[in-house]
Amino acid sequence: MKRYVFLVMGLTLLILVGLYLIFTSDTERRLEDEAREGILEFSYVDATSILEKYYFPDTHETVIRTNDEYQVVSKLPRSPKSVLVLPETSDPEDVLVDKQPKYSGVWEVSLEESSKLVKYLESTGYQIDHKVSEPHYIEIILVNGEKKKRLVIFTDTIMVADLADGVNLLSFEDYLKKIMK
Amino acid sequence: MKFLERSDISIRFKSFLNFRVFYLCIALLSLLLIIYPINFVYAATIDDIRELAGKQRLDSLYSEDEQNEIIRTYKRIKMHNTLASLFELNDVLLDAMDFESAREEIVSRINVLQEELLTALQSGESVETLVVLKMELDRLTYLETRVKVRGDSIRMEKMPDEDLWEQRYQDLLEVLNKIANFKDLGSVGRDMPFPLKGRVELTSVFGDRYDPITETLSRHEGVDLRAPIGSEVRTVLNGEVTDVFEGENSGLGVEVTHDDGLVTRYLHLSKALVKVGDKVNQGDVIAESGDTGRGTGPHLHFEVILDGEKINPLLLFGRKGANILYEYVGTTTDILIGNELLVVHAIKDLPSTHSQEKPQIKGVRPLDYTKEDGDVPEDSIEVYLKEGHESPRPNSNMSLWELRRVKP
Repeated sequence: MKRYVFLVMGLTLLILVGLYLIFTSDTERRLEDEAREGILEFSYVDATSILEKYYFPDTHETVIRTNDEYQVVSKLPRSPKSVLVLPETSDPEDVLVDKQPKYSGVWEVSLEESSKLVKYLESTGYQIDHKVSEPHYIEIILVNGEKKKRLVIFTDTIMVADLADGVNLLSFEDYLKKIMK
Repeated sequence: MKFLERSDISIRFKSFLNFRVFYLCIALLSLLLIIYPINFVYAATIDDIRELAGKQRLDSLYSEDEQNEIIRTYKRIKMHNTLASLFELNDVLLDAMDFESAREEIVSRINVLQEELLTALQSGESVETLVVLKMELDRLTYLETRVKVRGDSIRMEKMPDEDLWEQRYQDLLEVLNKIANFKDLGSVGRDMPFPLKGRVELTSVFGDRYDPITETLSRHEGVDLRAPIGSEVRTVLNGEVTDVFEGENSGLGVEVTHDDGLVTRYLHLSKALVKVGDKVNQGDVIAESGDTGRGTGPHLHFEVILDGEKINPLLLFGRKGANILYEYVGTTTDILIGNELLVVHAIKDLPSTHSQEKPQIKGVRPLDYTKEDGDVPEDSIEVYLKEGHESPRPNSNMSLWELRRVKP
Protein backbone atom coordinates (compact mmCIF):
# COMPACT_ATOMS: atom_id res chain seq x y z
CA MET A 1 0.00 0.00 0.00
CA LYS A 2 2.76 2.38 1.00
CA ARG A 3 4.51 1.70 -2.33
CA TYR A 4 1.39 2.83 -4.24
CA VAL A 5 1.21 6.01 -2.22
CA PHE A 6 4.81 6.86 -3.00
CA LEU A 7 4.21 5.97 -6.66
CA VAL A 8 1.20 8.30 -6.91
CA MET A 9 3.09 11.10 -5.14
CA GLY A 10 6.08 10.63 -7.41
CA LEU A 11 3.91 10.64 -10.55
CA THR A 12 2.08 13.75 -9.36
CA LEU A 13 5.38 15.51 -8.79
CA LEU A 14 6.60 14.51 -12.23
CA ILE A 15 3.40 15.80 -13.84
CA LEU A 16 3.70 19.11 -12.00
CA VAL A 17 7.34 19.57 -12.97
CA GLY A 18 6.47 18.66 -16.57
CA LEU A 19 3.60 21.12 -16.65
CA TYR A 20 5.82 23.84 -15.22
CA LEU A 21 8.47 23.22 -17.85
CA ILE A 22 5.91 23.20 -20.68
CA PHE A 23 4.31 26.33 -19.34
CA THR A 24 7.54 28.34 -18.96
CA SER A 25 9.04 27.23 -22.26
CA ASP A 26 5.79 28.13 -23.98
CA THR A 27 5.95 31.62 -22.49
CA GLU A 28 9.54 32.09 -23.58
CA ARG A 29 8.68 30.89 -27.04
CA ARG A 30 5.74 33.22 -27.22
CA LEU A 31 7.83 36.13 -26.04
CA GLU A 32 10.41 35.40 -28.67
CA ASP A 33 7.82 34.93 -31.41
CA GLU A 34 5.62 37.83 -30.51
CA ALA A 35 8.06 40.26 -28.96
CA ARG A 36 6.98 42.97 -31.37
CA GLU A 37 3.37 42.70 -30.38
CA GLY A 38 4.00 42.87 -26.66
CA ILE A 39 3.58 46.28 -25.07
CA LEU A 40 6.39 47.23 -22.68
CA GLU A 41 4.74 48.80 -19.65
CA PHE A 42 7.64 49.04 -17.27
CA SER A 43 11.40 48.71 -17.49
CA TYR A 44 14.21 48.75 -14.93
CA VAL A 45 17.75 48.31 -16.19
CA ASP A 46 21.03 48.45 -14.30
CA ALA A 47 24.50 47.06 -14.95
CA THR A 48 23.59 43.50 -13.97
CA SER A 49 19.84 43.11 -14.09
CA ILE A 50 16.73 43.74 -16.15
CA LEU A 51 13.15 43.90 -14.96
CA GLU A 52 10.36 44.34 -17.49
CA LYS A 53 6.60 44.11 -17.65
CA TYR A 54 4.83 43.29 -20.90
CA TYR A 55 1.23 43.07 -21.95
CA PHE A 56 0.12 41.01 -24.93
CA PRO A 57 -3.15 42.37 -26.35
CA ASP A 58 -3.95 39.24 -28.35
CA THR A 59 -3.83 36.88 -25.36
CA HIS A 60 -4.36 39.51 -22.62
CA GLU A 61 -1.35 38.11 -20.81
CA THR A 62 0.74 40.20 -18.47
CA VAL A 63 4.28 38.87 -18.38
CA ILE A 64 7.06 39.86 -16.01
CA ARG A 65 10.64 39.38 -17.07
CA THR A 66 13.33 39.17 -14.40
CA ASN A 67 16.65 38.90 -16.20
CA ASP A 68 16.20 35.72 -18.28
CA GLU A 69 13.08 34.43 -16.58
CA TYR A 70 9.54 35.08 -17.80
CA GLN A 71 6.41 34.66 -15.75
CA VAL A 72 2.79 35.12 -16.72
CA VAL A 73 1.19 36.96 -13.83
CA SER A 74 -2.24 37.67 -15.24
CA LYS A 75 -4.50 36.86 -18.16
CA LEU A 76 -7.01 39.63 -17.64
CA PRO A 77 -7.77 42.02 -20.47
CA ARG A 78 -6.92 45.70 -19.72
CA SER A 79 -5.79 48.94 -21.38
CA PRO A 80 -2.01 49.16 -21.15
CA LYS A 81 0.23 52.19 -21.77
CA SER A 82 3.67 51.76 -23.23
CA VAL A 83 6.70 53.30 -21.58
CA LEU A 84 8.06 56.71 -22.50
CA VAL A 85 11.04 56.35 -24.84
CA LEU A 86 13.89 58.80 -25.33
CA PRO A 87 14.49 59.50 -29.00
CA GLU A 88 17.84 58.34 -30.34
CA THR A 89 20.42 61.07 -30.68
CA SER A 90 24.12 61.18 -31.37
CA ASP A 91 24.31 64.87 -30.59
CA PRO A 92 25.41 65.53 -26.99
CA GLU A 93 24.41 68.99 -25.83
CA ASP A 94 24.09 70.79 -22.52
CA VAL A 95 20.60 72.04 -23.31
CA LEU A 96 20.15 73.62 -19.88
CA VAL A 97 23.19 75.85 -19.88
CA ASP A 98 21.48 78.89 -21.41
CA LYS A 99 17.99 78.10 -20.27
CA GLN A 100 16.20 79.58 -17.28
CA PRO A 101 14.67 76.92 -15.03
CA LYS A 102 10.91 77.06 -14.68
CA TYR A 103 11.23 76.13 -11.01
CA SER A 104 14.30 75.17 -8.98
CA GLY A 105 15.64 72.03 -10.68
CA VAL A 106 12.87 72.00 -13.31
CA TRP A 107 13.29 72.98 -16.96
CA GLU A 108 10.86 72.96 -19.85
CA VAL A 109 12.56 70.92 -22.56
CA SER A 110 11.45 68.45 -25.22
CA LEU A 111 12.18 64.72 -25.11
CA GLU A 112 14.78 65.21 -27.81
CA GLU A 113 16.58 67.86 -25.75
CA SER A 114 16.48 65.57 -22.72
CA SER A 115 18.08 62.86 -24.81
CA LYS A 116 20.84 65.26 -25.85
CA LEU A 117 21.43 66.16 -22.21
CA VAL A 118 21.81 62.51 -21.19
CA LYS A 119 24.35 62.05 -23.98
CA TYR A 120 26.15 65.19 -22.86
CA LEU A 121 26.40 64.00 -19.25
CA GLU A 122 27.70 60.65 -20.45
CA SER A 123 30.33 62.47 -22.50
CA THR A 124 31.49 64.29 -19.34
CA GLY A 125 32.20 61.05 -17.48
CA TYR A 126 28.81 60.17 -15.99
CA GLN A 127 27.61 56.60 -16.41
CA ILE A 128 24.08 55.34 -16.12
CA ASP A 129 23.72 53.51 -12.81
CA HIS A 130 20.15 52.52 -13.47
CA LYS A 131 17.23 53.60 -15.60
CA VAL A 132 13.52 53.21 -14.89
CA SER A 133 11.00 53.71 -17.69
CA GLU A 134 7.31 54.21 -16.96
CA PRO A 135 4.52 55.37 -19.28
CA HIS A 136 4.67 58.93 -17.94
CA TYR A 137 8.33 59.41 -17.15
CA ILE A 138 11.88 58.09 -17.31
CA GLU A 139 14.10 58.24 -14.25
CA ILE A 140 17.85 57.97 -14.73
CA ILE A 141 20.50 57.86 -12.04
CA LEU A 142 23.95 58.81 -13.30
CA VAL A 143 27.15 58.28 -11.38
CA ASN A 144 30.53 59.90 -11.79
CA GLY A 145 32.85 58.84 -8.98
CA GLU A 146 31.34 60.21 -5.79
CA LYS A 147 28.83 62.36 -7.65
CA LYS A 148 25.32 61.12 -8.32
CA LYS A 149 22.82 62.91 -10.55
CA ARG A 150 19.09 62.25 -10.73
CA LEU A 151 17.15 62.98 -13.92
CA VAL A 152 13.37 62.66 -14.13
CA ILE A 153 12.25 63.12 -17.72
CA PHE A 154 8.69 63.90 -18.81
CA THR A 155 7.44 64.65 -22.32
CA ASP A 156 7.89 68.41 -21.93
CA THR A 157 9.89 68.79 -18.74
CA ILE A 158 13.04 67.56 -17.08
CA MET A 159 13.94 67.59 -13.40
CA VAL A 160 17.67 67.54 -12.65
CA ALA A 161 19.45 67.52 -9.30
CA ASP A 162 22.52 66.14 -7.57
CA LEU A 163 21.48 63.41 -5.18
CA ALA A 164 22.18 64.03 -1.52
CA ASP A 165 24.66 61.71 0.23
CA GLY A 166 23.31 58.50 1.69
CA VAL A 167 20.03 58.55 -0.21
CA ASN A 168 18.39 55.15 -0.56
CA LEU A 169 16.67 54.79 -3.88
CA LEU A 170 14.23 52.02 -4.81
CA SER A 171 16.05 48.76 -5.64
CA PHE A 172 15.40 46.01 -8.17
CA GLU A 173 13.44 44.11 -5.52
CA ASP A 174 11.36 47.17 -4.62
CA TYR A 175 10.38 47.66 -8.24
CA LEU A 176 9.60 43.95 -8.59
CA LYS A 177 7.21 44.18 -5.64
CA LYS A 178 5.70 47.34 -7.09
CA ILE A 179 4.91 45.89 -10.51
CA MET A 180 3.69 42.58 -9.11
CA LYS A 181 0.86 44.39 -7.32
CA MET B 1 -67.00 57.20 20.41
CA LYS B 2 -63.96 58.21 22.36
CA PHE B 3 -61.87 56.10 20.03
CA LEU B 4 -63.24 57.90 16.99
CA GLU B 5 -62.56 61.30 18.53
CA ARG B 6 -59.01 60.36 19.37
CA SER B 7 -58.44 59.07 15.85
CA ASP B 8 -59.84 62.26 14.40
CA ILE B 9 -57.43 64.36 16.48
CA SER B 10 -54.57 62.10 15.55
CA ILE B 11 -55.31 62.42 11.81
CA ARG B 12 -55.63 66.18 12.08
CA PHE B 13 -52.37 66.37 14.01
CA LYS B 14 -50.62 64.20 11.45
CA SER B 15 -51.87 66.24 8.51
CA PHE B 16 -50.80 69.40 10.36
CA LEU B 17 -47.35 67.86 10.85
CA ASN B 18 -47.19 66.79 7.21
CA PHE B 19 -48.14 70.26 6.10
CA ARG B 20 -45.44 71.86 8.29
CA VAL B 21 -42.77 69.31 7.37
CA PHE B 22 -43.51 69.75 3.69
CA TYR B 23 -43.07 73.53 3.78
CA LEU B 24 -40.07 73.25 6.09
CA CYS B 25 -38.41 70.95 3.56
CA ILE B 26 -39.17 73.38 0.73
CA ALA B 27 -37.67 76.25 2.75
CA LEU B 28 -34.55 74.26 3.60
CA LEU B 29 -34.08 73.21 0.00
CA SER B 30 -34.41 76.80 -1.20
CA LEU B 31 -31.88 77.91 1.38
CA LEU B 32 -29.45 75.21 0.26
CA LEU B 33 -29.89 76.20 -3.37
CA ILE B 34 -28.89 79.76 -2.52
CA ILE B 35 -26.05 79.06 -0.09
CA TYR B 36 -24.45 76.03 -1.74
CA PRO B 37 -23.33 77.68 -4.98
CA ILE B 38 -22.07 80.80 -3.24
CA ASN B 39 -19.75 78.70 -1.10
CA PHE B 40 -18.01 77.29 -4.13
CA VAL B 41 -18.09 80.11 -6.62
CA TYR B 42 -14.60 81.31 -5.86
CA ALA B 43 -13.03 77.96 -5.11
CA ALA B 44 -11.65 78.03 -8.65
CA THR B 45 -12.55 79.52 -11.99
CA ILE B 46 -13.57 77.60 -15.07
CA ASP B 47 -10.27 78.51 -16.66
CA ASP B 48 -8.34 77.10 -13.72
CA ILE B 49 -10.04 73.79 -14.17
CA ARG B 50 -9.69 73.91 -17.94
CA GLU B 51 -5.98 74.54 -17.45
CA LEU B 52 -5.74 71.85 -14.83
CA ALA B 53 -7.69 69.39 -16.89
CA GLY B 54 -5.84 69.91 -20.18
CA LYS B 55 -6.24 66.78 -22.23
CA GLN B 56 -2.56 65.87 -22.28
CA ARG B 57 -2.29 66.17 -18.54
CA LEU B 58 -5.47 64.25 -18.00
CA ASP B 59 -4.18 61.32 -20.00
CA SER B 60 -0.70 61.32 -18.54
CA LEU B 61 -1.24 62.16 -14.91
CA TYR B 62 -4.71 61.17 -13.79
CA SER B 63 -6.41 57.84 -13.39
CA GLU B 64 -9.85 57.35 -14.88
CA ASP B 65 -11.54 58.00 -11.54
CA GLU B 66 -9.56 61.19 -11.03
CA GLN B 67 -10.44 62.34 -14.54
CA ASN B 68 -14.11 61.83 -13.82
CA GLU B 69 -13.76 63.80 -10.59
CA ILE B 70 -12.10 66.68 -12.45
CA ILE B 71 -14.85 66.74 -15.05
CA ARG B 72 -17.49 66.66 -12.33
CA THR B 73 -15.74 69.55 -10.57
CA TYR B 74 -15.54 71.47 -13.82
CA LYS B 75 -19.25 71.06 -14.46
CA ARG B 76 -20.09 72.03 -10.90
CA ILE B 77 -17.96 75.18 -11.01
CA LYS B 78 -19.33 76.12 -14.40
CA MET B 79 -22.81 75.99 -12.93
CA HIS B 80 -21.72 78.02 -9.92
CA ASN B 81 -20.12 80.69 -12.05
CA THR B 82 -23.26 80.94 -14.12
CA LEU B 83 -25.25 81.47 -10.97
CA ALA B 84 -22.68 83.98 -9.73
CA SER B 85 -22.93 86.01 -12.88
CA LEU B 86 -26.69 86.02 -12.48
CA PHE B 87 -26.33 87.49 -9.02
CA GLU B 88 -23.55 89.83 -10.20
CA LEU B 89 -21.31 88.60 -7.43
CA ASN B 90 -18.26 88.45 -9.63
CA ASP B 91 -17.70 92.17 -9.97
CA VAL B 92 -18.45 92.92 -6.36
CA LEU B 93 -15.91 90.42 -5.07
CA LEU B 94 -13.29 91.26 -7.66
CA ASP B 95 -13.47 94.90 -6.65
CA ALA B 96 -13.04 93.96 -3.03
CA MET B 97 -9.92 91.88 -3.73
CA ASP B 98 -6.54 93.23 -2.86
CA PHE B 99 -4.66 91.99 -5.90
CA GLU B 100 -1.20 92.93 -4.70
CA SER B 101 -1.54 91.12 -1.37
CA ALA B 102 -3.07 88.13 -3.09
CA ARG B 103 -0.21 88.01 -5.55
CA GLU B 104 2.46 88.35 -2.87
CA GLU B 105 0.91 85.48 -0.97
CA ILE B 106 0.89 83.29 -4.07
CA VAL B 107 4.50 84.17 -4.95
CA SER B 108 5.62 83.36 -1.42
CA ARG B 109 3.86 79.97 -1.61
CA ILE B 110 5.50 79.33 -5.00
CA ASN B 111 8.95 79.98 -3.52
CA VAL B 112 8.35 77.60 -0.62
CA LEU B 113 7.03 74.91 -2.96
CA GLN B 114 10.03 75.28 -5.26
CA GLU B 115 12.33 74.55 -2.33
CA GLU B 116 10.18 71.57 -1.35
CA LEU B 117 10.34 70.22 -4.89
CA LEU B 118 14.12 70.56 -5.12
CA THR B 119 14.62 68.90 -1.74
CA ALA B 120 12.29 66.06 -2.74
CA LEU B 121 14.26 65.62 -5.96
CA GLN B 122 17.61 65.52 -4.17
CA SER B 123 16.46 63.21 -1.41
CA GLY B 124 15.13 60.54 -3.75
CA GLU B 125 11.40 61.07 -3.08
CA SER B 126 9.10 59.15 -5.40
CA VAL B 127 8.34 60.60 -8.82
CA GLU B 128 4.65 60.65 -7.88
CA THR B 129 5.47 63.10 -5.06
CA LEU B 130 7.48 65.25 -7.48
CA VAL B 131 4.59 65.32 -9.94
CA VAL B 132 2.12 66.42 -7.28
CA LEU B 133 4.44 69.25 -6.19
CA LYS B 134 4.97 70.38 -9.77
CA MET B 135 1.26 70.34 -10.52
CA GLU B 136 0.62 72.54 -7.50
CA LEU B 137 3.39 74.88 -8.69
CA ASP B 138 1.85 75.02 -12.17
CA ARG B 139 -1.53 75.85 -10.67
CA LEU B 140 -0.13 78.61 -8.48
CA THR B 141 1.96 80.08 -11.30
CA TYR B 142 -1.09 80.20 -13.52
CA LEU B 143 -3.10 81.80 -10.74
CA GLU B 144 -0.34 84.35 -10.10
CA THR B 145 -0.39 85.39 -13.78
CA ARG B 146 -4.13 85.85 -13.71
CA VAL B 147 -4.04 87.90 -10.53
CA LYS B 148 -1.20 90.02 -11.94
CA VAL B 149 -2.97 90.66 -15.23
CA ARG B 150 -6.22 91.55 -13.53
CA GLY B 151 -4.44 93.74 -10.99
CA ASP B 152 -2.41 95.54 -13.66
CA SER B 153 -5.51 96.10 -15.70
CA ILE B 154 -7.30 97.75 -12.81
CA ARG B 155 -4.27 99.82 -11.87
CA MET B 156 -4.01 101.13 -15.42
CA GLU B 157 -7.69 101.96 -15.42
CA LYS B 158 -7.15 104.09 -12.35
CA MET B 159 -3.93 105.68 -13.61
CA PRO B 160 -3.44 108.35 -10.92
CA ASP B 161 -0.43 109.86 -12.67
CA GLU B 162 -1.67 113.16 -14.09
CA ASP B 163 1.57 113.89 -15.94
CA LEU B 164 1.30 110.62 -17.79
CA TRP B 165 -2.24 111.43 -18.85
CA GLU B 166 -1.23 114.85 -20.00
CA GLN B 167 1.69 113.42 -21.96
CA ARG B 168 -0.53 110.85 -23.63
CA TYR B 169 -3.01 113.52 -24.52
CA GLN B 170 -0.34 115.75 -26.03
CA ASP B 171 0.91 112.81 -28.11
CA LEU B 172 -2.59 112.29 -29.42
CA LEU B 173 -2.93 115.95 -30.30
CA GLU B 174 0.30 115.80 -32.23
CA VAL B 175 -1.00 112.89 -34.28
CA LEU B 176 -4.29 114.67 -34.88
CA ASN B 177 -2.47 117.77 -36.07
CA LYS B 178 -0.62 115.69 -38.61
CA ILE B 179 -3.85 114.05 -39.75
CA ALA B 180 -5.53 117.45 -40.08
CA ASN B 181 -2.73 118.54 -42.42
CA PHE B 182 -2.86 115.54 -44.76
CA LYS B 183 -2.87 116.33 -48.47
CA ASP B 184 -4.18 114.31 -51.39
CA LEU B 185 -5.03 111.24 -49.39
CA GLY B 186 -8.76 111.39 -49.86
CA SER B 187 -11.26 112.39 -47.19
CA VAL B 188 -10.31 111.93 -43.57
CA GLY B 189 -12.47 112.30 -40.49
CA ARG B 190 -16.24 111.87 -40.68
CA ASP B 191 -16.28 111.30 -44.45
CA MET B 192 -13.60 108.66 -44.45
CA PRO B 193 -14.94 105.15 -45.21
CA PHE B 194 -14.21 102.27 -42.84
CA PRO B 195 -12.34 99.32 -44.34
CA LEU B 196 -15.55 97.27 -44.04
CA LYS B 197 -18.94 98.10 -45.46
CA GLY B 198 -22.10 98.14 -43.39
CA ARG B 199 -22.18 98.07 -39.60
CA VAL B 200 -18.67 98.22 -38.21
CA GLU B 201 -18.04 96.64 -34.82
CA LEU B 202 -14.83 96.78 -32.81
CA THR B 203 -13.75 93.53 -31.19
CA SER B 204 -10.42 94.72 -29.84
CA VAL B 205 -8.91 98.14 -29.28
CA PHE B 206 -5.51 99.66 -29.96
CA GLY B 207 -2.82 99.76 -27.27
CA ASP B 208 -2.26 97.78 -24.08
CA ARG B 209 -4.87 95.13 -23.71
CA TYR B 210 -5.53 91.74 -22.21
CA ASP B 211 -4.32 89.28 -24.85
CA PRO B 212 -6.89 86.47 -25.15
CA ILE B 213 -4.26 83.99 -26.37
CA THR B 214 -1.27 84.62 -24.11
CA GLU B 215 -3.47 85.82 -21.22
CA THR B 216 -1.09 88.67 -20.47
CA LEU B 217 -1.14 92.41 -20.95
CA SER B 218 0.36 93.13 -24.34
CA ARG B 219 0.37 95.89 -26.91
CA HIS B 220 -2.16 95.56 -29.71
CA GLU B 221 -0.85 97.51 -32.67
CA GLY B 222 -4.11 98.01 -34.52
CA VAL B 223 -7.85 97.54 -34.11
CA ASP B 224 -9.85 94.37 -34.73
CA LEU B 225 -13.13 94.68 -36.59
CA ARG B 226 -15.75 91.94 -36.66
CA ALA B 227 -15.83 90.48 -40.19
CA PRO B 228 -17.28 87.17 -41.39
CA ILE B 229 -14.91 85.30 -43.71
CA GLY B 230 -15.19 86.67 -47.24
CA SER B 231 -16.25 90.22 -46.29
CA GLU B 232 -15.03 92.88 -48.73
CA VAL B 233 -12.06 94.83 -47.39
CA ARG B 234 -11.64 98.36 -48.74
CA THR B 235 -8.70 100.68 -48.69
CA VAL B 236 -9.45 103.71 -46.53
CA LEU B 237 -7.45 106.26 -48.54
CA ASN B 238 -5.91 106.77 -51.99
CA GLY B 239 -2.53 105.10 -52.37
CA GLU B 240 -0.40 102.31 -53.82
CA VAL B 241 -0.17 98.64 -52.81
CA THR B 242 3.37 98.20 -51.47
CA ASP B 243 3.20 94.69 -50.05
CA VAL B 244 1.12 91.51 -50.13
CA PHE B 245 2.53 89.15 -47.52
CA GLU B 246 1.83 86.08 -45.42
CA GLY B 247 3.09 85.58 -41.86
CA GLU B 248 2.58 83.10 -39.03
CA ASN B 249 0.92 85.73 -36.85
CA SER B 250 -0.46 88.14 -39.42
CA GLY B 251 -1.83 85.56 -41.84
CA LEU B 252 -2.39 86.98 -45.32
CA GLY B 253 -1.93 90.75 -45.35
CA VAL B 254 -2.01 93.74 -47.69
CA GLU B 255 -0.09 96.97 -47.15
CA VAL B 256 -1.05 100.23 -48.83
CA THR B 257 1.20 103.28 -48.75
CA HIS B 258 -0.35 106.74 -48.92
CA ASP B 259 1.15 110.19 -49.06
CA ASP B 260 2.54 112.13 -46.11
CA GLY B 261 4.20 109.14 -44.41
CA LEU B 262 1.00 107.19 -43.88
CA VAL B 263 0.72 103.41 -44.33
CA THR B 264 -2.32 101.20 -43.73
CA ARG B 265 -2.24 97.42 -43.29
CA TYR B 266 -5.04 94.87 -43.45
CA LEU B 267 -4.34 91.45 -41.86
CA HIS B 268 -5.81 87.93 -41.39
CA LEU B 269 -7.25 88.03 -44.94
CA SER B 270 -8.49 85.01 -46.87
CA LYS B 271 -7.81 86.45 -50.31
CA ALA B 272 -5.86 89.41 -51.73
CA LEU B 273 -7.44 91.04 -54.82
CA VAL B 274 -4.53 93.38 -55.55
CA LYS B 275 -0.84 93.00 -56.24
CA VAL B 276 2.19 95.08 -55.37
CA GLY B 277 2.32 98.28 -57.46
CA ASP B 278 -1.46 98.58 -57.99
CA LYS B 279 -2.83 102.12 -57.57
CA VAL B 280 -5.92 102.16 -55.38
CA ASN B 281 -8.53 104.78 -54.62
CA GLN B 282 -10.36 105.39 -51.36
CA GLY B 283 -13.09 102.75 -50.98
CA ASP B 284 -11.69 100.26 -53.53
CA VAL B 285 -12.10 96.58 -52.62
CA ILE B 286 -8.59 95.19 -52.15
CA ALA B 287 -9.15 91.88 -50.37
CA GLU B 288 -11.55 89.47 -48.65
CA SER B 289 -11.38 89.05 -44.88
CA GLY B 290 -10.59 85.72 -43.25
CA ASP B 291 -9.16 84.05 -40.17
CA THR B 292 -5.61 83.32 -41.28
CA GLY B 293 -2.66 83.68 -38.88
CA ARG B 294 -2.86 83.99 -35.10
CA GLY B 295 -6.30 84.87 -33.84
CA THR B 296 -9.34 83.62 -32.00
CA GLY B 297 -11.77 83.86 -34.93
CA PRO B 298 -12.55 85.62 -38.19
CA HIS B 299 -11.88 89.36 -38.05
CA LEU B 300 -10.03 92.13 -39.84
CA HIS B 301 -6.96 93.52 -38.10
CA PHE B 302 -6.46 97.09 -39.31
CA GLU B 303 -3.24 98.99 -38.66
CA VAL B 304 -2.19 102.57 -39.38
CA ILE B 305 1.45 103.61 -39.42
CA LEU B 306 2.29 107.31 -39.36
CA ASP B 307 5.95 108.34 -39.83
CA GLY B 308 7.02 104.80 -38.96
CA GLU B 309 4.99 104.63 -35.75
CA LYS B 310 1.81 102.63 -35.26
CA ILE B 311 -1.05 104.88 -34.18
CA ASN B 312 -4.63 104.27 -33.12
CA PRO B 313 -6.45 103.79 -36.46
CA LEU B 314 -9.65 105.28 -35.05
CA LEU B 315 -7.96 108.69 -35.00
CA LEU B 316 -8.44 108.83 -38.77
CA PHE B 317 -12.21 108.51 -38.60
CA GLY B 318 -13.19 111.44 -36.38
CA ARG B 319 -16.50 111.10 -34.59
CA LYS B 320 -17.28 107.90 -36.48
CA GLY B 321 -14.26 106.36 -34.78
CA ALA B 322 -15.38 107.73 -31.45
CA ASN B 323 -18.84 106.23 -31.90
CA ILE B 324 -17.69 102.68 -32.52
CA LEU B 325 -15.35 103.03 -29.56
CA TYR B 326 -18.30 104.04 -27.36
CA GLU B 327 -20.21 101.00 -28.50
CA TYR B 328 -17.23 98.81 -27.65
CA VAL B 329 -16.89 100.35 -24.20
CA GLY B 330 -20.49 99.44 -23.52
CA THR B 331 -20.01 95.76 -24.29
CA THR B 332 -16.51 94.76 -23.29
CA THR B 333 -15.27 93.50 -19.96
CA ASP B 334 -11.53 93.96 -20.39
CA ILE B 335 -10.63 97.41 -21.63
CA LEU B 336 -8.56 100.19 -20.22
CA ILE B 337 -11.31 102.74 -20.24
CA GLY B 338 -9.16 105.76 -19.40
CA ASN B 339 -7.07 105.35 -22.54
CA GLU B 340 -10.10 104.88 -24.72
CA LEU B 341 -11.97 107.89 -23.41
CA LEU B 342 -8.87 109.97 -23.94
CA VAL B 343 -8.91 108.96 -27.59
CA VAL B 344 -12.62 109.66 -27.94
CA HIS B 345 -12.28 113.14 -26.52
CA ALA B 346 -9.13 113.91 -28.45
CA ILE B 347 -10.79 113.19 -31.77
CA LYS B 348 -14.14 114.83 -31.08
CA ASP B 349 -13.04 118.12 -32.64
CA LEU B 350 -11.28 116.56 -35.60
CA PRO B 351 -12.45 118.36 -38.76
CA SER B 352 -14.94 116.27 -40.72
CA THR B 353 -13.10 116.68 -44.00
CA HIS B 354 -9.56 117.47 -44.99
CA SER B 355 -8.85 120.93 -43.64
CA GLN B 356 -6.09 123.13 -42.42
CA GLU B 357 -8.03 123.71 -39.21
CA LYS B 358 -6.45 122.21 -36.14
CA PRO B 359 -8.24 120.50 -33.26
CA GLN B 360 -9.32 122.91 -30.54
CA ILE B 361 -8.79 120.84 -27.44
CA LYS B 362 -7.01 122.65 -24.66
CA GLY B 363 -6.91 120.40 -21.68
CA VAL B 364 -7.80 117.13 -20.11
CA ARG B 365 -8.71 115.96 -16.64
CA PRO B 366 -7.01 112.89 -15.25
CA LEU B 367 -9.04 109.77 -14.63
CA ASP B 368 -9.41 110.09 -10.88
CA TYR B 369 -9.80 113.87 -10.88
CA THR B 370 -12.59 115.40 -8.82
CA LYS B 371 -13.55 119.01 -8.35
CA GLU B 372 -12.31 118.90 -4.77
CA ASP B 373 -8.82 118.18 -6.04
CA GLY B 374 -8.29 121.75 -7.26
CA ASP B 375 -9.12 124.18 -10.01
CA VAL B 376 -10.51 122.78 -13.20
CA PRO B 377 -9.74 124.71 -16.39
CA GLU B 378 -13.00 125.79 -18.00
CA ASP B 379 -11.98 124.59 -21.42
CA SER B 380 -10.82 121.19 -20.24
CA ILE B 381 -12.48 117.96 -21.19
CA GLU B 382 -13.86 115.52 -18.68
CA VAL B 383 -12.07 112.32 -19.43
CA TYR B 384 -13.56 110.49 -16.53
CA LEU B 385 -15.86 111.81 -13.86
CA LYS B 386 -15.54 110.12 -10.54
CA GLU B 387 -18.20 110.79 -7.94
CA GLY B 388 -17.69 109.04 -4.67
CA HIS B 389 -16.81 105.65 -6.14
CA GLU B 390 -13.57 104.12 -4.98
CA SER B 391 -13.01 101.84 -7.91
CA PRO B 392 -15.28 102.39 -10.90
CA ARG B 393 -15.26 99.51 -13.30
CA PRO B 394 -15.81 99.87 -17.02
CA ASN B 395 -17.97 96.80 -17.35
CA SER B 396 -20.41 97.58 -14.59
CA ASN B 397 -23.67 99.44 -14.94
CA MET B 398 -22.25 102.22 -12.79
CA SER B 399 -19.44 102.88 -15.25
CA LEU B 400 -21.81 103.00 -18.17
CA TRP B 401 -23.89 105.53 -16.30
CA GLU B 402 -20.83 107.68 -15.76
CA LEU B 403 -19.83 107.25 -19.35
CA ARG B 404 -23.13 108.70 -20.50
CA ARG B 405 -22.57 111.69 -18.27
CA VAL B 406 -19.29 112.58 -19.89
CA LYS B 407 -20.37 111.86 -23.44
CA PRO B 408 -20.26 115.10 -25.47
